[in-house]
Amino acid sequence: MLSKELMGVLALAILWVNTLLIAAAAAKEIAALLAWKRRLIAVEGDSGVGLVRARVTRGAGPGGALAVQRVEQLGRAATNDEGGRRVIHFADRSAVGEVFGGTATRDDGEIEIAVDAGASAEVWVPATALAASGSCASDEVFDRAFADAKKARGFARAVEGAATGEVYLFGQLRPMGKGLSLAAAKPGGLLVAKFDPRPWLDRKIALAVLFIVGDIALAAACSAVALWPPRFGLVSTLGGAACLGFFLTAQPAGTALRDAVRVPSRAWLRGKWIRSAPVQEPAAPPHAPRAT
Amino acid sequence: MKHRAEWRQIGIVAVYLGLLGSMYLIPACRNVFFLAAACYFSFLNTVVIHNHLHQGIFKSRGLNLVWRVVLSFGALYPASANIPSHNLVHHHFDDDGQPDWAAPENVTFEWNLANLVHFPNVAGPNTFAGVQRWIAVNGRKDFARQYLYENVFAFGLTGILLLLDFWSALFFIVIPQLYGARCILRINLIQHDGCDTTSDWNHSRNFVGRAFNWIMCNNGFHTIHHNRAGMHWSELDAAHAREVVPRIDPSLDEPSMIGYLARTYLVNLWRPSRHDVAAAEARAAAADLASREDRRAEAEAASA
Repeated sequence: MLSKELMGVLALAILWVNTLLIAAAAAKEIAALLAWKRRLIAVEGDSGVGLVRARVTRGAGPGGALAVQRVEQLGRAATNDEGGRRVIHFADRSAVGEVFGGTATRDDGEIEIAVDAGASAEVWVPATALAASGSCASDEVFDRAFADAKKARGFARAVEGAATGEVYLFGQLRPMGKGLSLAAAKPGGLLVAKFDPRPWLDRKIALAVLFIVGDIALAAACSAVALWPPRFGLVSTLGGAACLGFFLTAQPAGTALRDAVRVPSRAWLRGKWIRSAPVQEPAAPPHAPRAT
Repeated sequence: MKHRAEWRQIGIVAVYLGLLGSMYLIPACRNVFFLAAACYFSFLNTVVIHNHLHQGIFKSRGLNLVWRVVLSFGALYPASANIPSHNLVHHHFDDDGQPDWAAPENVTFEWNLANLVHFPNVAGPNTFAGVQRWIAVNGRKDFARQYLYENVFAFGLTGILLLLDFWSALFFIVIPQLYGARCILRINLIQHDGCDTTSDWNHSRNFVGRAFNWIMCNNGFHTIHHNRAGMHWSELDAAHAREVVPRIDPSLDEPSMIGYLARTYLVNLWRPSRHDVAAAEARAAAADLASREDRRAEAEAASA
């Protein structure tokens, strides 16, 4: 016979094993972010591996861009309109960063840095900037896209975020002639960021730490209520319900955290376009007068 | 019924629901034997979901939809989720360029047992988020309605049972339901970790024991199921011998799932290193197999 007490212990064991695994997965995310943070230390001199702040003076890419983050997307027509307006939902297919090469001046002087072109690199563009560059220009553009989005193959597009103006560069810095050169560090590669990545990393690490604390604290609180005397009484039963609810919601919370702390080069862009106004259907032809 | 062999699946579900009902209603049935059997049959219930969502077992469309609702209660998730998550995405290891929602790479612990235990915590939310995105596009209103019915019935009936007798329902209904649901997610890790999902014949691990495949309705023959998704489950063993065996790395034909689990997750602490399993099919004669794109288009048409 399986007593309530025995089954209660089993249920709490299941809850805690999963809680701790979800916390451990979050800790692995923190470890990955900390690895980035350790790499991104400012380079003080003329050589070394690290981060420098600079301003792009010449980029070999389109529009003078030093680098670009490109997200390939597929748009599909939404099942449901929003307030009678058509919608296209976008799914990400791939994301890749490309450094075209060029020059930038270091912000602590007039020293010019030549940046190597590289087929692939980390290019970090703010999510808001990337989303803005993928917004719909007009209803005419929307209507052309919608015609494809309704078909099985969908509406394919590429959203690009360019690195111009002020940037943060990570890589191997070396003196070269009167200036400096930046190439991919081994290990560490090459990073071109449109924002200071260090505060961004701090915020994401703090979020993940908060998640772990919250995950464990909530599991402890639910367990405590479930164990409230008399066991299996009203309060204890409410605690059991809270444990079940927590078990079911902690899992999507864990994957939401994983998505929230993805580095910008691998963060989901997705998004949707909504037509500014409903499509005006052509008026129906007037009924022919009924023959009498 | 379309096929005589489906009685086995009906029997599995009947036994499972009988076990749940017995434990909920009769205190004498709340023992280790009944609980272990209910957990195992809950897993088999999800195997029936898998088979039914590939090929409805009844000739009547209405009955097939009602059967999905019944199966959803057994697993505490809407059975129709299998159409996008399994039939369309998992079978082709691809979600419009992004990885399968249940790809083995979703877990990265060095301690391999932690990967096995944790896998549903990631694959489950990935799946349900993916299904929501899939429902949102291309006029899937009928699917959304059926998905809603299954959710309402599965969570509604479970909720009523919890309200009537919370602890009995939690311990003897919900735990078996979740065990089955989480095990069918884990199967994705078990059947594909260490395989080459880009290859045609070495993307999956098979479990070929006869008794195992009788009760599992031939779900151990996973390679041929991926490649010939329209084939009825009762024909998979013969097709495996005919088409897969000549092309598969022998390490992907496991005689026993229990042996594999013990060896991979208990005896060996760390995730096994990979080797080039796909080399086996390069040495074999080419097979008549449609491209993944064509097979996906076929599955998409079938789901519509």
